[in-house]
Amino acid sequence: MKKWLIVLLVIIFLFTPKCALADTNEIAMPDLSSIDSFLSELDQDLQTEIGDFSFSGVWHQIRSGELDFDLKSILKLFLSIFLQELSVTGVLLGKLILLAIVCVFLTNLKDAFEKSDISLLSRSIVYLLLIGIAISSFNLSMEIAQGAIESIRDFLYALLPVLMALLAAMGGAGTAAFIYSSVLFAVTVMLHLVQFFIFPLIYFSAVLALVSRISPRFQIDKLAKLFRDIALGLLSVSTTLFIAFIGLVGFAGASFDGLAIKAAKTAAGIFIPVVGRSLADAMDSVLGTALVMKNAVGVVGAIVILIICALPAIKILVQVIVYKLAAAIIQPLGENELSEALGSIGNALLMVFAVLAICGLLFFFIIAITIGIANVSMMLR
Amino acid sequence: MLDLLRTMVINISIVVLLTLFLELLIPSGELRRYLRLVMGLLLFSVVLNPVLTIFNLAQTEPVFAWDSYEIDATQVVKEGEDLAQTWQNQASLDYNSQIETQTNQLVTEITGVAAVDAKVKTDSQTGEIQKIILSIKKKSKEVENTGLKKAIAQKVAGYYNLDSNRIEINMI
Repeated sequence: MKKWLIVLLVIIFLFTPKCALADTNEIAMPDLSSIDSFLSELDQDLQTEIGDFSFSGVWHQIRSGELDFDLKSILKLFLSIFLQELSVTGVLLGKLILLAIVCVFLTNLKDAFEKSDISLLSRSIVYLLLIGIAISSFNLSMEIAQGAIESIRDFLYALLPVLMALLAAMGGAGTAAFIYSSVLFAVTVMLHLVQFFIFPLIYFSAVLALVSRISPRFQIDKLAKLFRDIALGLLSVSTTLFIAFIGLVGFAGASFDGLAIKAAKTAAGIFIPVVGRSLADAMDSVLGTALVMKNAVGVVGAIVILIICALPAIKILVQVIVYKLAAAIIQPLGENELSEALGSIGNALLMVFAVLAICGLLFFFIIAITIGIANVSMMLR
Repeated sequence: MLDLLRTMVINISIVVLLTLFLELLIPSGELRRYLRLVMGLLLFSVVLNPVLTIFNLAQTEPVFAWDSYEIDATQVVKEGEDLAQTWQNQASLDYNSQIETQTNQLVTEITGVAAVDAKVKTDSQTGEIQKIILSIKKKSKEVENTGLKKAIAQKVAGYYNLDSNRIEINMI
């Protein structure tokens, strides 16, 4: 089903901008100001990071059918953000390695002298300092991920009413109401789970994994692993349920809607005079344009969600790389515990990345399915 | 439930850190062994406490209810229906203007007609033609009104398969 959706979306994407040229200004559209204001706010927030790229620009281009969108510019944007982030996080890497070297030095001092308490104390302090840095940067990454998920949610809440109003206008008012409430229900449940269960569990697991390395006497890494496993399990179960639910809603909506429109068309076609253009045909062309417009809105939605999700994901990924790299460099120096601790922070960050990526993908599916529903209905027409 | 876990994680961290510091502060010897025992017991209680609380949770914890969830689809559907009505009107206008153009051409072909302005009223739901109002300008004054009106009414009525009383003709 995923493949089918992706193929469908690509087809829509390929054909939409050109078709949107036709009648964009001529037919009535629902109020798009909420999306407009959301995108310009997003542009302002991300101005330093995304440079010339503008979400509102893409949005207006698609609406006017003059989309000059190439994958190269997006990839370039991602790459530049990756490098920018890498140079910023490079400082963190430097700090981590420097502290590790101090730690190793102090350990050597401890071995050299008989009275080792002082060097042990200073080593512990350095270790705690290192953990402090790690925890604070982990905190920052969590906040970035939460913020990204919240802005995707806000965008979806601005986009869905527009898509659903268009769907309702195309003939399936009941279906639109059904899909709107089902999709919002699923999104809200999923976000609740992520924000209030999965993220805290990942956080606990990271903290416990770090604390576990402080004292060799108290081993609590099994507890950390338990939390991590619960978070993973919860994520995979909820993702499966979400996809199944949204898929079912999509199929149910598509068939119901198509039949309703078909019936409406037959009713309108009966009394039309033989000669000239029939009212049903006139209605068809209006609906066709509306459908194209709806697809355009959907495609912009999908692109925006992809980018909103990708930017923080790249940042988190860079952090993961830095922690893993630091762990790999520190281990040969002889600080196994420290290396393990940094490695476990890297793993926890990888989990955060996974959660963010999955959320982005699920919201992407929602848009794909809402686009698909109207298309299938119109095909039946 | 999650608060319980949060408290547990914080407590464990505190106990472990405290042990680390006390071990550094206290001189090695008998005292350190006792310290380990005490801190071990403390950690024991910190870990066991939430486990025991979970057993009692069933009676004390309120049932998880969905209170922040409220979706009102009526607004969206209403917006959609208004939009559909606008589209219907747009399509209807488009349809009317098509028929008007066609009628204009049809009537212009009749001899004696110089210019025509057709106005068409249709049912916006079914598209059925309800009334065609034609304003005709004659080529010359000699052309007879009654004959011309009859010819026009016949042609238009026959073309659209209409009852001739649905066609109104005004001479300018």
